[in-house]
Amino acid sequence: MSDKSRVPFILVRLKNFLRLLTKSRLAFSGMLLLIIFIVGAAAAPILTTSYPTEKVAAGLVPPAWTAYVFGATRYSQNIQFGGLAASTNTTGTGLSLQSTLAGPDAIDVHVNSTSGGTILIAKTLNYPYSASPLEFEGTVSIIPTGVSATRPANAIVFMERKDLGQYGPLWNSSLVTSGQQYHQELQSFGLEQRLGFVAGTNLGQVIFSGKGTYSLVLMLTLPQGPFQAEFVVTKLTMSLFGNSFGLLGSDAQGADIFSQLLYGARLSLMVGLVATGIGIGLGLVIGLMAGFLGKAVDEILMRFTDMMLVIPSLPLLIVLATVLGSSLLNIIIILGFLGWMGFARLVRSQVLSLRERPFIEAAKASGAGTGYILSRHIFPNIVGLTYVNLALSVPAAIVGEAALSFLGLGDNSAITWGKMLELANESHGGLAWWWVVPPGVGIALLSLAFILVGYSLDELFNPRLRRRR
Amino acid sequence: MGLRGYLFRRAINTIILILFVIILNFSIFQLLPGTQGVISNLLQNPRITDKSIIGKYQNQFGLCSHFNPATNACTLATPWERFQTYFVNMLTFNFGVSYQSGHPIFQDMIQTGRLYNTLILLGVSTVFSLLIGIFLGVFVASKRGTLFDTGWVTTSLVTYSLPTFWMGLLFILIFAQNLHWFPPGGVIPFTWQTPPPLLVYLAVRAQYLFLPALVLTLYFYGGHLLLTRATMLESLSEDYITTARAKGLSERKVLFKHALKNASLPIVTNAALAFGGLLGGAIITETVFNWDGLGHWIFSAIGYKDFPVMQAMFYIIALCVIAANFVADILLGVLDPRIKYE
Amino acid sequence: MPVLQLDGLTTNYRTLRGWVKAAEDVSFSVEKGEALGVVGESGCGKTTVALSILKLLPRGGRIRRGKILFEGTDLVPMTDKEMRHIRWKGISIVFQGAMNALNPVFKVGDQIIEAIKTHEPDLPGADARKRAESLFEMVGVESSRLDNYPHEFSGGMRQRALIAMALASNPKLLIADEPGTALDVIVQAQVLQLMRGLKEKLGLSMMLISHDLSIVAEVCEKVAIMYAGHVVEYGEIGEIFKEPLHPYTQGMLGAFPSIKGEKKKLVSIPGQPPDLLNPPPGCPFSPRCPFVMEICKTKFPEAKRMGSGEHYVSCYLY
Repeated sequence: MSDKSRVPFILVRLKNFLRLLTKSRLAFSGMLLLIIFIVGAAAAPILTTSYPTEKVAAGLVPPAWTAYVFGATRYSQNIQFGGLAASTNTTGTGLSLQSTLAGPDAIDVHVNSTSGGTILIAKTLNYPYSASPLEFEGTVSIIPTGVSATRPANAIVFMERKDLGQYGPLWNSSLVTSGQQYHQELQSFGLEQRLGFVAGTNLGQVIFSGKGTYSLVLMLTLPQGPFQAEFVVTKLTMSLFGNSFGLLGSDAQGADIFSQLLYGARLSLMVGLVATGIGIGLGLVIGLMAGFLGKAVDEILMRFTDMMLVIPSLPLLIVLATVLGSSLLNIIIILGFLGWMGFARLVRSQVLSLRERPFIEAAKASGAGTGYILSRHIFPNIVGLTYVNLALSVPAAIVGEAALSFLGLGDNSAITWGKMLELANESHGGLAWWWVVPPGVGIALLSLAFILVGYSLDELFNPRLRRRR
Repeated sequence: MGLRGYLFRRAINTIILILFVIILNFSIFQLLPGTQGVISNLLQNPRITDKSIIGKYQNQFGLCSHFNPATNACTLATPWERFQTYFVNMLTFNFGVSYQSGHPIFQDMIQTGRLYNTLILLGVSTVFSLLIGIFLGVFVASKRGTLFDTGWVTTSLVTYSLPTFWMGLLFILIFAQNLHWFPPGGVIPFTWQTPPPLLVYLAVRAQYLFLPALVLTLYFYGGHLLLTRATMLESLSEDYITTARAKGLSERKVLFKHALKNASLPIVTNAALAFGGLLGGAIITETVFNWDGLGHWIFSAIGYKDFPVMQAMFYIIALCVIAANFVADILLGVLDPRIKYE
Repeated sequence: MPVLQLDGLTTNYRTLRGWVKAAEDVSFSVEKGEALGVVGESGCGKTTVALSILKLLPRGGRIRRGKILFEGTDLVPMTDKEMRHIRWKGISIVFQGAMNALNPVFKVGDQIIEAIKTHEPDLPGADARKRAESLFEMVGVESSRLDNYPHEFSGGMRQRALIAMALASNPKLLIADEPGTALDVIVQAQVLQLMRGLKEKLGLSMMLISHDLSIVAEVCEKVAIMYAGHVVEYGEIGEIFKEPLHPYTQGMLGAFPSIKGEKKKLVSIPGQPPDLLNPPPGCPFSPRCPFVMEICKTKFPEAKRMGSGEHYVSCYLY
């Protein structure tokens, strides 16, 4: 077969495959599932708003939609303060202020005062939920100019609700150095005692006890006497983390599970395909060698294959991953090197039966070398087998990696589906269904997709299995 | 060559396999940098000021051929010498001392009840998965093409492809955490100081055993069912089945005597091979359910890098699988009169 | 009263593409102590008829019309449980010895004893064993071979064992499906001789299925010629040999060498048997028939009685 004729040959197969897809419902659904997974994995950065390990919600909260499904009356979602604005305190005299907004979280304020006074830089929030948020998290960052150790300005951050009063200070600092950035993270945990509550009090619940209008205020108190200064507020944010979040809820660290699921699909697909690729490649080489070289080589290789088949694979995987170290690359290589045996046997038997066919005999008789026969006659006949096995072996590799991760032998830097389950299992306070269900469903559906595609490929390449029409 | 010759060949094969496992185990743990790494880490520990202690550690890890306890002088053994010692140790079940507990591993394995716990879990789930799988497989094959058939085939395909750890987690979530029907894990309640009356004892133990055994059974019956169905369908299409029916035999006898005995040959082989998978599944299931058996031990050994325990467990598991294969070979020889002449 | 009488038996197989009309309106009878031959090329529905009588049709097979009267009782409406009492004790069957008709994982003797014990559960094991031994001797196999497995038997011995097994419960009717076929000629002749001897010795009523008219002629008194699921000619063997009426029978006789008769040119019938999924309307032989008429293509002819003896033919020529 010349290279020119090989292109149409592949096209014909592709056409057959597409035709099979339209004919067989199973093949179609398998392919559809696979495409959904691949698109989801590839588009993970577009479809999600955060990285798998980024804290974007309160720890261990259920998906937002559960409120509708289970009819929860008291729920809250993530919400942020907005509408940044600066104003002067009306009590001040001779105080003028000029502010320019530099984005939603930053503002630049020029102040000119004759006898002190206060400036309020505030954000507001119309809190719509009857349930309190579980946590809040914010940042304040300010660069003053015109202040000095002798004439410092004072910055205080507090939270205010009209009828209930103020909570604060969340931050209290003297601004003494011009041009220095004063920065503070504002978190609900660790501030309780400072605000006069018992340690462990949930500040979110205390402060945001119900619907209403809240403000986050950065109050700058100016020194007495004439004073001219500029305050660049580079950041003033406050996010409230509700008791429900996003599409699939959050994990114990407050990371988005949907994001973990999509990024995990990337890893699972990669691990599955690369490991299977290695396994299939090894199986092909060993099977071809055993089948084609025959005699002693065949005997030794097949004995070895049989022995490897008997050795229980998961314990061996565990042992190798422990001894060699459990980086993702190591796991892929180990899975690949333990996944060749079945395919090697299959290739060998195929080669043995092909070798007896007349067209190989004819090629030999006309003086073709081993390499020529292998590449021109044996290989094309095994291509189909290779595709089928590639598809059918991927699930085993995916489950294998997940099992290793689950046992704590996974790559700690990679949030794979198995890692998700391990973390879910180890998290305190019981299993959360929104954390346990998605990765398992992902593994099962992805396996199913490959199995369905594998079987339809098998039907395509193996004429004996083709249904009579 | 009769049955005896066949069994002799299988026995030789089994011995070769055991040898292979020992060599594999030796290569992984002794030749790969793992153990050596541990030792060199120990030696680089700045708190070990007396370097003569090196010899002591080398001796402790079995790296010396000659060792003088007085001077801590160590003559390093060649890999071949080490293999010989290792080989004898493996055959005599002398696995050394666990880093974790400091006790000899063999003693730890038996006296803590781990072996016993694993045997209970494995025994129950093997028996149930085989019984359910084979019986359902036979019935499903006899009702080929009906809703009963497709229903069970689909169900077993689904349970077969679900990862065991996920199934375990789901069961804990549903049956332990939400419904409180079963404990979420453990072998027996922590509160038991002295065993309660026998009936209560058995009932509570069964309650603890139920979920892990269910997971393993669900994971393995599917494979047996599908294989039994396939081989039964093949067997049922043979002429001798028509003969058996023509003889006036009841359908039960046709299915369970004539068809199943023929179909059982691949089932036996597969059951032996599946035993390896079952042991793998047990490691994970024991971990999920905190079932204090050999699998759970491996899991905790991973965390402690307890290499002696890991290699001992790998060796024991491999031995079990090899033994299962040998038993299957013997069964095949008994079941199939043709095998003696191959 | 005949031992077995088929009356308009129609057995079809249901497939994805429709009904395969394997046996259509088959009628014949077997008298007591008499042997009937059923002859036709492979795929003509002979074995379907045999399996219909025992109601052992494979998946999708269904008796759609007709009666199977065994000693006057219709078998068609019988339940499987009732049929089990008819099988082997009433009607037993000998399958091809070359096939896998003996279960490879049981000893041959045990399979015979199983057949005996199924119908006489109270019989002591030793007596059943004794009967199996005498059966083996009757068919000419050493009784010590009872403890052998089927794979330790030669093809001819397997065929003899199958015959012995068929006789285990003293059946009233013996159906033999191509006995001896696929064995070598000498063994085949021995098997036939055995069958004929047994028929005479035991006064067996028999239905012998074969594709070879000359084999049937050696054992049977009557013969039914089948083509594409239909009985086209039926009658005493002598009559049919003497005066074959149906063009298919004529063609078939012309296609077989006669050992005794004078040398004549063998003629094969041109064409192929029809597809049983979509058989031609009317006579299925019409596409190959040299004497085809318009009417042949519309309706299958009724069986007509010819001559003085028992001789029926389904053909518009008569």
